Amino acid sequence: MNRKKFILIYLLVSFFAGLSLFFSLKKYSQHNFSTEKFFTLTDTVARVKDKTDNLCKYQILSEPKVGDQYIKINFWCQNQSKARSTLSLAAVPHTTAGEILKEYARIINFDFNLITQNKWYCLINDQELTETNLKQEVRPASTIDCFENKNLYRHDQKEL
Amino acid sequence: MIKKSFKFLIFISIIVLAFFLRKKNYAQIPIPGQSVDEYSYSWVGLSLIKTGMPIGVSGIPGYQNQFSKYINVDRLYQTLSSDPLSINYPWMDHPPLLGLITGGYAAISGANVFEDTTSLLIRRPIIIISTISVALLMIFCWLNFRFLTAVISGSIYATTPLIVLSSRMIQAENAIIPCLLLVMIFSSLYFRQKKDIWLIFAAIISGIATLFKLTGVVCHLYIFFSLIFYYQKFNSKLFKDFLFFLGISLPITSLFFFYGISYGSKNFFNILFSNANRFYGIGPNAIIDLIRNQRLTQHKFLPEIWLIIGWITFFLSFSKTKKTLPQSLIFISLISYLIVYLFFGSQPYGWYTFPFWPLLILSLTAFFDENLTNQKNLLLTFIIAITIFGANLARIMGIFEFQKYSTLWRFLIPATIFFLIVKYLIKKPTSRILNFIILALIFGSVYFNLYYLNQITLDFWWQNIS
Repeated sequence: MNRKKFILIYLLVSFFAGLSLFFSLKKYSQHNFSTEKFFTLTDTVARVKDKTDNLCKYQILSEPKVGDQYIKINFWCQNQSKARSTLSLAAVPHTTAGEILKEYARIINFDFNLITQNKWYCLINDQELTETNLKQEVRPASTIDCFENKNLYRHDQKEL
Repeated sequence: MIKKSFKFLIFISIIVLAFFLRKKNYAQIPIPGQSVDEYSYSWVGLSLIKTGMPIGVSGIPGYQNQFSKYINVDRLYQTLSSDPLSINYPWMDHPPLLGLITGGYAAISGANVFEDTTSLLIRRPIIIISTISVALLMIFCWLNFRFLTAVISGSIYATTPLIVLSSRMIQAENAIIPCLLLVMIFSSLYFRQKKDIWLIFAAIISGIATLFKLTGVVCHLYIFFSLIFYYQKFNSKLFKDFLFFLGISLPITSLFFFYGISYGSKNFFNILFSNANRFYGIGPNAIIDLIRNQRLTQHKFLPEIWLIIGWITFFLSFSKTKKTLPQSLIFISLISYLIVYLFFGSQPYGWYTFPFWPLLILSLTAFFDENLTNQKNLLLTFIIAITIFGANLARIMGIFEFQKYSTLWRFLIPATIFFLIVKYLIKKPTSRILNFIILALIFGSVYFNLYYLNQITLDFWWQNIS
């Protein structure tokens, strides 16, 4: 085998392959990528993921190391079960109470409207969550508690 | 003809066994999310196919587009205490080939978004790749030693629990392993037949290895050292061969650079240099840690006697001045990866050590092959075989259950060793029976591998390994 001839042809072919990869990737990404598509990829819930209507079934187990840039979300159910989660505020797109709860519903995969439909009683830092403060920015290290009904208390504490 | 068919049947049986062992509970163990790299690789491939933009998880500074995100694939946040993921684009931590395989498979199977890439889906291609590694390991032994050696190495590599579990993980090292084994096969054929075609194949595969991860450069280093071994000196033939090899492999590696700069050279070089400045955590403790701790991830350990003994046989081969070609190729491959490991080494993640494992199994089986074929060092061979057998027995039995066999163990082993020493002193040839005993110990240990693997369920994992 004539090695020199082989390498010469091979290098030429490789160079054109590299160039065509460069231009085709550039063109393909310019035509197909957008910030919306990025958020679709990262934020859309899987088709096969189980959707729950029991808001105490799942919790987020992590305690993110973010100083005070977190929010605690606790759901307390009638059957004495609970789901206690801590979310990093840096990972939540909008930091109003309503948007945080929507993001939480997306992560856990339950219908956000269940909170209002089933008349959950929610507090933020022990203040009742109303239509008004749902749209207000929450301060770091806040706690949202949602009870399946108004007469419930935090099971792991003596009383509300 | 019948003999050939029978051998082929055994070869296929070991591959089938390897496949089913890797497949069993593959989506549950190792626990999905214990290494988020598995998802990251697949997301890079999926996003590249769907949008033309590689999007993945990175902890490296230097990215312009960085987002903290909760992506609850496989209900990751309900099974493990995981922080939100740092998502970056265009992701340039590593070349995208592995991502294109696992993410591409996910895309073909209907995945559209990141949460669709469950471990049930994305781990399938890596199981195939890891099974191919078993076949290649056996082919190397079959070509360079004999069929029995291929069966021993294949049986060990197919069944060793840590190797089986690691083979399910989407890590670039699992793709570099078959590349390195292929390059070893092609190089041994080149040195025997001196046909350029084998060097061309080795170069192509070496180039492809670097498209999985830059540590794939181990193949280049291996070829360089093996050429030095083959020519015994730095002469023009060596340089001609190596330049020819580089002339073919480097253009393939350069595809990563064409790929990277198509997303902006600033971002690409930022990440490349940032990668080079990564925390270098292994330091002088590296070798001890490497031999003593068999890791699956950073903090998950599963001690494997096969690998520890593999290291011992590797160190024994240092003192051996006259090595055969296959023995030298195994030795060179281990040295090459050791250099790459120490050079690239950052935090001691388990997967950095994965490529050592097939090479250690090769080193171990080469040791058995030489001593059993030539009827030498049988005392040492017996001690090594009984050590492996004992450690595997202890793992499945436990100390209290073992007590009923302790007397037998206490007397039988010293008696055998005594018998071997006497035979050695009176210079009488040892009977072939000892070969059968050693082989029985090896295959008995392989059986214990299977027994232990059968015990590994989710509960067992949480209680004993996690």
